[in-house]
Formats: sequence, structure tokens, C-alpha cells
Amino acid sequence: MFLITILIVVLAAFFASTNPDGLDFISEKLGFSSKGIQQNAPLAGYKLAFFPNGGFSTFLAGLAGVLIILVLFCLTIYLLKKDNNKSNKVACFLLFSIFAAMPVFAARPLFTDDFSTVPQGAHELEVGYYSTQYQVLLSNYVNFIIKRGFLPNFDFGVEIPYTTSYPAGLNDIYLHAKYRFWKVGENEGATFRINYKFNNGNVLRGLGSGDSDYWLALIYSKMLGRTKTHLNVGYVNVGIHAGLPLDDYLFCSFALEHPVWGEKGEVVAEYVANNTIVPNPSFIQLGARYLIANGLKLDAGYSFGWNDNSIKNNVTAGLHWEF
Amino acid sequence: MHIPDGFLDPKISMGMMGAAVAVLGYSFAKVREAVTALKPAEAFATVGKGVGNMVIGMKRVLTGDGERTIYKMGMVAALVFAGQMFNFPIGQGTSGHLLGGVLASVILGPFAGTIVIAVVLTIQSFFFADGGLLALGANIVNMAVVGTMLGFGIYFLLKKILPEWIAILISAWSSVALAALACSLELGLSGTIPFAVIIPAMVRVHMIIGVAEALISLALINLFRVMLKGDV
Repeated sequence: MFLITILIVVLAAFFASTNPDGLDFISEKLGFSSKGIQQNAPLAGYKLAFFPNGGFSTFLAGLAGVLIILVLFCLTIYLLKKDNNKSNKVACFLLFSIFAAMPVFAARPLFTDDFSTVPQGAHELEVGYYSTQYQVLLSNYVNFIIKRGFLPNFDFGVEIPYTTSYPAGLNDIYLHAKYRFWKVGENEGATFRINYKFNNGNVLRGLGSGDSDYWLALIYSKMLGRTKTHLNVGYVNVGIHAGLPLDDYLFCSFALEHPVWGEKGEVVAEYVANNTIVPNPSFIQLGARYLIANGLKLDAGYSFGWNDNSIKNNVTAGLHWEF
Repeated sequence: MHIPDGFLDPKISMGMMGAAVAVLGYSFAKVREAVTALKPAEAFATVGKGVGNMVIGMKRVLTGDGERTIYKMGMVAALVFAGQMFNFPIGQGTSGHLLGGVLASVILGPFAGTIVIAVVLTIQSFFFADGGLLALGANIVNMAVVGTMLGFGIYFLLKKILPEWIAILISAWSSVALAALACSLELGLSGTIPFAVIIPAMVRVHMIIGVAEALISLALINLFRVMLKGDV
């Protein structure tokens, strides 16, 4: 079968028609081919960059493509055999390979996200310290989020939580991708967000949730008077936890940001709800931000829940830096 | 039929990306179920005074059949990739190439077939600049969802009343025409070109390409079956 594939690559390289294919032909004939954007790629146009002429270049490029595909699938098998709990991760690697070249949470201390994305080429770093009382347990952790704007309306980042209280260690890591698809002026628009949570935390030591989850969210922001409002509606696909599938759930949150202290500060408030039983059905958070230098904001927040299963008290303080 | 960036409105691109992720996510879940089996998971633990390996839950383990399925997916993906490189002339100064949706889904089933085509499209977009990155969602919907799943649906229904080779021919031909229709609808919805202009033009050209697709699919499916006797 491999030989037949190679044979077809040879045919494609040396004997294929050089006429444009159906869609290209029609776009030229109907005059909208100029709208297309030629993107850059290592083997653009099925040619090697350093050896761009002739069928042989196409043959080598095609061979490279076939090998990339075979390696990808063999790698999948290797990872699945090596560590069986990684099958989720492999599936997600393949899924994320689709997103990797394109597009969390809004500015601290809020859980609710806003519609804006990090500007193209810029970075955003958030460092936060959390102290959370869940039922009778108190845990402390530090959270790092770094995001980069890859397109004017797309950013991608990674979130790394590290628990400092007992049991100390790395918690489950998140990947965040945000794509803004609609914008009216500076303060109104809508964004689509996808997060993936790894299950890298050591569950036996009490770190991480033991399952890898997807988060999908739609974010809508609008200015009401001088107050910014944000609405998030999302779905969480919960992975398999120690062999037991947990229920997927929906979440919804609403936040307000109001400027104070001559536009240098903001007071923020939010309400977060979801339809899961554990760990935090709903909570309210109150907080503030203060601009201490260009692009650098200091913030603090306090959140509380009132349900038996919810977070009792949570205090956070942190920094938010755009550069 | 790979849409480059710029042809589609960002809203359409993103909606299609969402749709593609939803279908791929479901397909991944289905394939994962098919290639793995649940086995008890053990870990070193202490419970009371007992120390040793204990069952802490169930975990998914790759089966031997599952491994063969993934190898087969890799082979079909390489085959479809090579097939999509080969442009055959269809006259009027234009050409066409294999889409491979029905080919992949008849050999592997609709879910694995969809993933295979999506992987091929992703690699074409990343490494070969064939099809835009933002338009990748739309391309996956056209070729991996409409062309593969819908194509397989037609094959599945026709197989019940017709000989299999006729079912393959008809479903492969219609998968190309339907993918072209989906592509035209996306271009029309984006406001790139009016529906009345693009739909007849796209569908007409791809009805011719579909004939070649049907013949190539039938030949390659039979070849695959001969090569891996009774395994498909």
C-alpha cells in the first residue's frame, strides 16, 4: 500500500495537470480570486523552497507529506501504547494541531472573560495568588497565565497553576485560545473561547482533577453608561476521571467593571453559576484593579459562595501586565 | 476545492471552525471507543493496613485491533494525501483532484474516515499552504463532514438496495457534488459572490470531477481490499 501511495506521488509530481483545480478556476473566471490571501508554509505549493523547479521538487515535497502523515499516526500509536491515560491527550493534540496556528480568562481577578483579545504581537502576563477555603480545607496556589496575540483578533496562551500549600506541586495546566469574531466600536463585541485542561496533576497526591476537560465559551461585552458588562455562556466537556465519566456541565457568568479614582482604578463584581454539583455551583466576587504603571495593574478580589458544595471564601491578589 | 484565506467572512470561518470541532470531537470519541477497551487500573496505594497494588478505577487501553485500525488510518491518510496531489485535467483549462471522503469512510467507517480527511486537510494547510488556516474549519466541513459523513450515509443506504460497487460509484460522485454545494453556500453566505452565480458554476465543474472521483475511489477501495485480504 505504501508503494502504491509513492507511485501516486510520482504520478502527481511528474504527470499531473498544471491547470487550476475546480475552485481556483471558478474564482479566476468569476473574478474573486484576488480576494485570496497567499499564506506562507514550509512546502508552499508542493515545492521545496530551496529547489523550486521541476517535478522532482514536487515529488520530494509529496514524499515529505506522506512521511509527516505516517509519522503522525505512528506517533499516536506509540503514545497510546506507552501510557494508556494519554489517549485523551493524543486526541487533543490532534484536535489542537488544528487550532495551533490560529486563536481564559479576562483580566484578573475576574473569572468572567471580556471580549477583547491581546493585540497582535503583544503579550499579557498575569500572576495571581489565591487562598481558597473549600468546605473546611484551605489551599493556596499561585497562577501564571501568559498569552500572545497572534492575529488582530486572536490570542493563544497557557495557564500554569502551582499549589503552594500541602500537597505542593504543579496543578492541571490549561491552554487558552480566543477568537473575536464581532466588534462594534471599542467596547462592544463577541468572542469565542476554547480552553483545554490537561490532566497532568498528580491525583494520588491530591493535585489536579484527574481528567482532561474542554471548555467552550461565548463571550459578549457591552458598555452600559460608563460601566462595562460582560456575559459568558459556556459548556465544559469533562473527561474520564479514574475510569468514571463525570457529567458535562454548563456555566454562565456575568460581570461589571466600573471606573473609579479618575479612570486609574476599576471596581469589579461578578456572579458565576454552573449546573454541576461539585465543586463550586455559584459564587459572587467583588474586587478592584489599580493602574500603577503603563500596562501594569495591581488587583485584589474576594469571592464567596453560600452552598454546601461551593467555595466558602476565596481571597486573591495579583498583577496584570501587558507588554 | 481547498478554500484559501480571504474568500470567507470571518464569522463564517469561525462558525465552520466550531462546527468542525464539534464533529471532530464526536468522531474522536467514537474512534477512541472503538480502538480501546476498559480495563481495571491499578496503582500502588495504602488502604488501612494493606499496602500494594490496588484497583483504583478503570482506564482505557489500546487493543490489538485498535492498533491495526490506527495503522490503517495512517495508510489511508497517506493514500488520500497522494491522491489529492494528483490533478487530472477535465477540459476547459481546469483540473480536479480526488477528495477521498467516500474512499476513506468505506474502508474505515464514517468517524475514522472524517478524522483521516481532516488530518490530511490540516497538514496540507500547515505545510503546503493548500487551503487557508482560518478557512480550515470550512474546508473540514466541506470535505471531511459533508464529503465523508454524508457520502458514507448515501453509500450505506444505497448498499442495501444496489450492488456495492454501484453504491460506491454513486456515493463518491454525489459526495463531490455535495461538497462543492457546501463550498458554494459558504462563499455565498460570506457575500463573496452571489449564490445564483457560484452554485451552478461550482456544482457543474464538480459534477465532472465527481465522475473521476467515483472511478478512482472504486479502484482504490478494491485495491485496498485485495492488498489487505478480508481485513477491510
